[in-house]
Amino acid sequence: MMSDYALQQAFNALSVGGEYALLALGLAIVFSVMHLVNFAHGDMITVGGYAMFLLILFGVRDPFLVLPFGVLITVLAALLIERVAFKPVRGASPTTGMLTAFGVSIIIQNVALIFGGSRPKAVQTADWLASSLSIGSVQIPVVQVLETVVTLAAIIGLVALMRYTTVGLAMRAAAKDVPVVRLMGVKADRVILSAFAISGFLAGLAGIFILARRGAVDPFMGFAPVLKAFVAAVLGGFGSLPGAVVGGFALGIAEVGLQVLLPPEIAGFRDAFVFLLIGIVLVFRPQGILGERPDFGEKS
Amino acid sequence: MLSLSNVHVSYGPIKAVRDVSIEVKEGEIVALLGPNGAGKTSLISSVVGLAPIASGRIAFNGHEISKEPTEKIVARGLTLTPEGRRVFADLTVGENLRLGAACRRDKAGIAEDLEKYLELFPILRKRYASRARMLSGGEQQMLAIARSLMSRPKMLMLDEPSLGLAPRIVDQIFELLSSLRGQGLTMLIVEQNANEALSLANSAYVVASGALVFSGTASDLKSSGEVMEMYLGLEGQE
Repeated sequence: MMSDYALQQAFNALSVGGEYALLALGLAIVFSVMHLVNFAHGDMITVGGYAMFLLILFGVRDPFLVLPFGVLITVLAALLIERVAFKPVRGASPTTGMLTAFGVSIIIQNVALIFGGSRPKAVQTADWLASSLSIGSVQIPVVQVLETVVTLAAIIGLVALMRYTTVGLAMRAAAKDVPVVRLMGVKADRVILSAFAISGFLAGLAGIFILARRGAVDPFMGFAPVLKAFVAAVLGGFGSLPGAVVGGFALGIAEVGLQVLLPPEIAGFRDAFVFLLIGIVLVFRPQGILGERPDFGEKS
Repeated sequence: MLSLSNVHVSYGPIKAVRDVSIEVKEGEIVALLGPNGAGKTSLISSVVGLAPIASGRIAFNGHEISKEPTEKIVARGLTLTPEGRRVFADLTVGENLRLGAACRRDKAGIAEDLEKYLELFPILRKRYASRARMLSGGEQQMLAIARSLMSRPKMLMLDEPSLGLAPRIVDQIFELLSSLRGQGLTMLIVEQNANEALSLANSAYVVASGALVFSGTASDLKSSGEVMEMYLGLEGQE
């Protein structure tokens, strides 16, 4: 019995960690290429969520249409935000970019508030997402299994993209030296749009699972995800893609682990313990688990 | 092939280059010399759109390129191996070279060139899977040059290819540049190491404090004791 419980919680930790990893990767890939902390990352999920809500409202119920549509709209939202909001401030100080991101976030939240109201709107993703798999005596929600599998697939796909495609190589190179990437004949625009497209795609995937869990959209649903993504990315080492994955899983495992291990009287303070743990890690590794120490000056 | 007319480069109120005109003919090697801080790097960075041109014209093969973005200029066949090599340290040698060909679509040609340069730079074949940060300074310089060549340029500009390298390695680099000249590559070489550069160059320009102080053939410069001494710290020949 005890081992069944442990197995269930292990899956829970993996799926929560996977969700955080997807979110943190999306944040990290944009940061690594253009040193922008996109605090509107979570609101892209909101846009995708409302898009699914609207599609269902118009009578489309097939999840194989609704879910990809949500991901597609999230990607388009990411690209549109880049064009409209971030491109005009490209080259400005990082603070300007961050404030722009907050601005985008506030606008999206308020548009959703004005046209949708503050009350959550139910979104039925798919029945089978809400069901459970029985493995022996263990019940594991389908959403958790899928989330773990999709996260791993997304990570493998991303690694392949970053290693084997020219645009992937360019994105890795641009993290350190944009002018020389342009000297290779690569358009800076193309690298940045690719980073936003990938970021939107990962947010869209995470969005599906977030929606499957909550079963509803509301204007502020993007806040918790972006916060988790930010914490996971800092923990893993900001700007490092492997760091984002490790940070995401570490955060998920710490949350679920503490939920299980803490006595019930203080389990309500779980997040305080999580942040305490992260604080301790950062005291010893200020650059995050896999982050690099800041590089002062160029070696020649 | 490349012609700069009355080029000014400014960073805000600071004028880095004033009224410089330079002509590079096809198949020629031109040395751009001058003391530290003379504006050499600013000048050739401006040619590929990486430094702000305040005024003047730059034409490459008859096209006005002074307002074009870097990537377009590179696609036209003019590229720069930047100062300090600036290889992509976290990418492998192979990945650096593949990225060098990013503006090309001819797969077969890219594979052919890759083989050709691995032949020409055997050390890069040996270190193909290593991260570029693991290479020595000289190896990084060779990688930087090979990476530039992977775009199949018609003309290559090199910014201080000998900077910080041991004399033996400097000789190797210049031997290599000489063999590239043999293949008909047009080059503009920025150097502080005037002797090496002049041994290779057909013509030379000297800049000091952002302005041109000499232009002529390499042998004219060598025999101009005053310029050699004043700006390059070298004894001129009789």
